[in-house]
Amino acid sequence: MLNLYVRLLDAAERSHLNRILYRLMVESRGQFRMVEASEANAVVISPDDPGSMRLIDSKKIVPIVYGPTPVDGVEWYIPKPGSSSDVAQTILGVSALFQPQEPAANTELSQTEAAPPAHASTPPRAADSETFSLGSAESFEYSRVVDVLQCAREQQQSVELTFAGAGPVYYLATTDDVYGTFTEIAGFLATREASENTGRTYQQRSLDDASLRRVVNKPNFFGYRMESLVWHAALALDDARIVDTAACYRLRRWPNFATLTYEHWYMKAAGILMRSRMSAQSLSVALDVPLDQACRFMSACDALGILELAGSGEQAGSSSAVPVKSKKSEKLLGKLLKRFFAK
Amino acid sequence: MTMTENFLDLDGVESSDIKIVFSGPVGAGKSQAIRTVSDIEVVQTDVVATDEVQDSKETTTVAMDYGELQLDADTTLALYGTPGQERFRFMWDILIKGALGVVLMVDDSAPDPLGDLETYLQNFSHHIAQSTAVVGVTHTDVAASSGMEKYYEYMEQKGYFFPIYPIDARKAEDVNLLLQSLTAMLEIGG
Ligand SMILES: Nc1nc2c(ncn2[C@@H]2O[C@H](COP(=O)(O)OP(=O)(O)OP(=O)(O)O)[C@@H](O)[C@H]2O)c(=O)[nH]1
Ligand SMILES: [Mg+2]
Repeated sequence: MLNLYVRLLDAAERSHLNRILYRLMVESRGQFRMVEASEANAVVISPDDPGSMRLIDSKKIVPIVYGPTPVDGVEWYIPKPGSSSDVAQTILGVSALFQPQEPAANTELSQTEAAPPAHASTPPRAADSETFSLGSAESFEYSRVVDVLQCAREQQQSVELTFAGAGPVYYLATTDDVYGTFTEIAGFLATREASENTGRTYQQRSLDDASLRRVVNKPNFFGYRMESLVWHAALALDDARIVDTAACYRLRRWPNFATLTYEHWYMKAAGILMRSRMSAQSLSVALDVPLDQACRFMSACDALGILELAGSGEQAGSSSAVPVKSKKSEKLLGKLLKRFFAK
Repeated sequence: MTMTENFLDLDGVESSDIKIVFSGPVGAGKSQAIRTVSDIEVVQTDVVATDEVQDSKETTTVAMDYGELQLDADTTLALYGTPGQERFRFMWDILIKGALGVVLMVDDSAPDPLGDLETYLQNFSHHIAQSTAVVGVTHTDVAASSGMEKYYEYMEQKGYFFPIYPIDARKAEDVNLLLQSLTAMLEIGG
């Protein structure tokens, strides 16, 4: 196993890079363990050169650039916050750099089959009934479990996640549903404090759909739409994915409020972001909602895969350039609002 | 068309009405949607289907549907439903004039729902540009090919930024979702 020691520049960047490195860890199926350390000697991010980062293990030094695009002469790069579509690619690329020579030396790894090596062109796919954990020291947070589920979703791989002292939770790829007891699902929906649950470890097991269907058929289990789960999680969690509040985004698709919970202003936000690009900052001003709420809404859209980065940096006066004023009379609008949005 | 003439009092269709128009192809659920939410007994002009529509449904709208939502003591929001059949097309323009917005409905179980969506979006493109629109995809519960993916793809490809949802016109919360979204679009300028 490779230990990646990470020292990151600030909390916002940590949140973003943690997610990426964490997913790298998940997708490399335990070959990496991530440890955060202040005296960074394995992953180095130089404060003098914030654009560069080095992943170092005893044999290999890999320069990695943290930036918007690949750079000549570096093997891989980590995308800037917000370019979520590149995350999976990054993970594959970085995984390929560290192809294991031997099965990962994780003491908690109880494999019934040797892990197939990570490969650049195909995502690593766990064999049936292969159980592994993500490192004993890994703290348990629901946001991270949602990330694991997202990975499984992207790979269209059904999995069982088993927690120390709780769970299991299943992801069924064919129906895109998550199954678990009420307790666990409620945890994912972040109705409980994440801190209550820290310090737990969990294991991931890949299953074929047929056997998974059998196991989820329990009376106290219920299925939950994966889409709704990631939506809820992103809205409720503190570490929003969208950390650059000045970067402009747009929506590719209208969020399906027929199944996703929504507030009145989400619809306006969706309308604005469908029509034009805007930053979280401007959105917050345009709709008069707190900035963190705007970030969470954008993060939730990002988690659904319908948000895209539309140029970094704020255009001069872009918030005022977008007409968010209605052409209809205030009075009439007020009446419509009262009728359609009154509780 | 004596049937139509009896019902149709075009003088009653004021372009100054505060109104929302439900439109879309035959059987999409326009009459149903209005029936579902209207505060008043809906005025319908459905007749027993006798022509090409007959195979698919028993009755069809020949002039319009009319329902109402009371916004407050002195404001009424009129809900008009257009007839789905092509031969009543002339009604579309009459009904849509001055509407706050258009609720487009398409039947997911129809042979070519995307083609239907395209037709209506184009037909109303001029009006939609001046007001706004939302799209409700009905009959997803009985359609053979499930999934909204093709609609999302279509909207994205064509650059339409309107709300689009899978809905059931028989459910008040679904029709309300369309009306809420339409209102939100109006708030931000259509
Ligand atoms: N199964 C199912 N039936 C629906 C749904 N929405 C509407 N319906 C039914 O579909 C039938 C046709 O709906 P109408 O409201 O008559 O259709 P229309 O758009 O007015 O059609 P025309 O007047 O002929 O243009 C009715 O029986 C509705 O109750 C849905 O989502 N699922
Ligand atoms: Mg009708």
